Amino acid sequence: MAGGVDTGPAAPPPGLLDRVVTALAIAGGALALGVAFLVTVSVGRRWFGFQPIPGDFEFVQMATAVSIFSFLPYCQLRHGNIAVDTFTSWLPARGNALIDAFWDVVYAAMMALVAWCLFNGAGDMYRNGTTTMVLGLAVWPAVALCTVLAAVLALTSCVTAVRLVRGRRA
Amino acid sequence: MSGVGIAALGFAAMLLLIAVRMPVGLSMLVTGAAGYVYLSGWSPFLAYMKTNPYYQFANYTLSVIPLFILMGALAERSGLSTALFKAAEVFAGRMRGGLAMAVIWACTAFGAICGSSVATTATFGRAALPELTRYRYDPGLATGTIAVGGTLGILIPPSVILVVYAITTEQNIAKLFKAALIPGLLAAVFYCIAIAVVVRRRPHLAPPASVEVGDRLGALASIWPVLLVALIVVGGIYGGVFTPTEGAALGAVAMLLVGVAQRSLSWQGLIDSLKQTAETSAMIFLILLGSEVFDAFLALSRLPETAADLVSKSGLSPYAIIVSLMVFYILLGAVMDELAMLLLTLPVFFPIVQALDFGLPPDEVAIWFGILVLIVVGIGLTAPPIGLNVFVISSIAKTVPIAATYRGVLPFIVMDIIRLGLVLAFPGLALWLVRLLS
Repeated sequence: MAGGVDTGPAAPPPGLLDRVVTALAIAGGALALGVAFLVTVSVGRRWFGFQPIPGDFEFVQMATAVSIFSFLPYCQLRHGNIAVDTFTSWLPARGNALIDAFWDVVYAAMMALVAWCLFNGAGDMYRNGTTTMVLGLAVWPAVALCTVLAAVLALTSCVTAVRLVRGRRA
Repeated sequence: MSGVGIAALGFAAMLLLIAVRMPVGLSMLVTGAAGYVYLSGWSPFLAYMKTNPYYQFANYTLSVIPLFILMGALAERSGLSTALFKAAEVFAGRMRGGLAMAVIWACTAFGAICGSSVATTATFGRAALPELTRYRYDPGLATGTIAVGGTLGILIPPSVILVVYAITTEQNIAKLFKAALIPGLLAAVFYCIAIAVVVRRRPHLAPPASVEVGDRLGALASIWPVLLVALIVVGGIYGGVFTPTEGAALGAVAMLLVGVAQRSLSWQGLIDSLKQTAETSAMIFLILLGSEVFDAFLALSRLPETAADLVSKSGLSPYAIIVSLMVFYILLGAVMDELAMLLLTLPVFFPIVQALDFGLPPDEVAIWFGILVLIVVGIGLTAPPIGLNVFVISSIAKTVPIAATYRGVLPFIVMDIIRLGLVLAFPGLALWLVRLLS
């Protein structure tokens, strides 16, 4: 069980996917920090008697969804998702690695399905012209971004599975 | 097969998958999806998934979770957790067991700017463990204290668990944060009592430390920014000056500015904070996504209504029911991830609790139950055989056997159970501040 703490041996030099996924996580974190600044400015304007930034919560919502989807591949790359060691702990390390690899493949399949569904959802929103309530922002670009990120997650999960089979944990 | 039968089967399948190492969030997602498809077919499921994963995350209330994690991460990388521990050490260091008590108080202060127990445990594992080791504290006492101190990250508001509880049960986050304060401070006091009792009976566990007591004003001077930010964030949310999301955003920005102004936050430290936020948030949100799909399946199966109906017609006393729910949570929490446990059980248990008559208005019962659940989650995070905080501290203190940490944790669990009993018997411990501030 890994609760967000690095326990694996030193990882080999990062490949292209590792760099992309890490960059996505940092970009998502920067987006969250940007949201924090936006909200702070909005609150500040309210305190000093100005209009708060109109519809700021709509930015918050979109940015939160996009940043969470950009975090997921990084978490998977680092095996940060919580799994529970029960009677599998008596298995040799190799056995556990193969089990984890199998679940990584299942995760990849599930996220490929999510990406496919989101792709259709983004298409629907584009055709229907779905917009947000206050600002009238188009929603489909945000969903399309999440679609791409979900696809990256599925790919990352395939790669971690292959690495586990080859005896690498990170 | 009836919907309820399918739901029971779904629960069993999910627990089985978790037992064979499937990540918790994924097993909820997979069994929830399978149950949904079985009960209503492929096309409604695919239609549900078209936008749901997006709207599940595009949620204003949930945005406080990454923001609170970011605030805590920035505080740690700016060295504020170390400063908190040093300051607490100056005040408590000379007492027998004082360093362990300093961990508890530093965690309490850190809990007011951090909403995650895993993050708090990891933070103080790095900030305090080397010091405890240097003064030859018993390894199990040291790691046990940090694992338990970590739970203060959620026991003291803000708290990720309370945010999740509030969203699942449609309660007011600010009220839950108010209700958590007194039981949270009580936890810190009780943990210090546990330390005092343990080191009195077995003094060799905590050798006296010749801590430089130095000037106390200097110690306070180094931590006032973090205390001020905590006061503004928690106070602002309590006073209704801003929403929890606004408080979290303000806190994250303030922590960044403090780090930059004190020149203690490096560029690398900022990048690391963002990465840590990414990993911890993703871990939580995968479980949230899985539980959303699983709950949609449960709602289709009508299990929650059926269970609430059954219990309210059973004629058992409300207290007997709530005590058995707590015992159930302690047992389940010992073997399961606590966040997943709450998300899975609340859709079934919350309607039951709402149907019980404690002589309190239903919204007060909801708040009180949230605090009870929080205490049980804290126990589950440290209790053997599966305590997430214990795993976190073990991954940092690799030389301490995990059994030693579990032995170190035991006295604290006893205190937690006493505290659970007190809050059960006196709902006012949770509700007094809510009533006072409303």
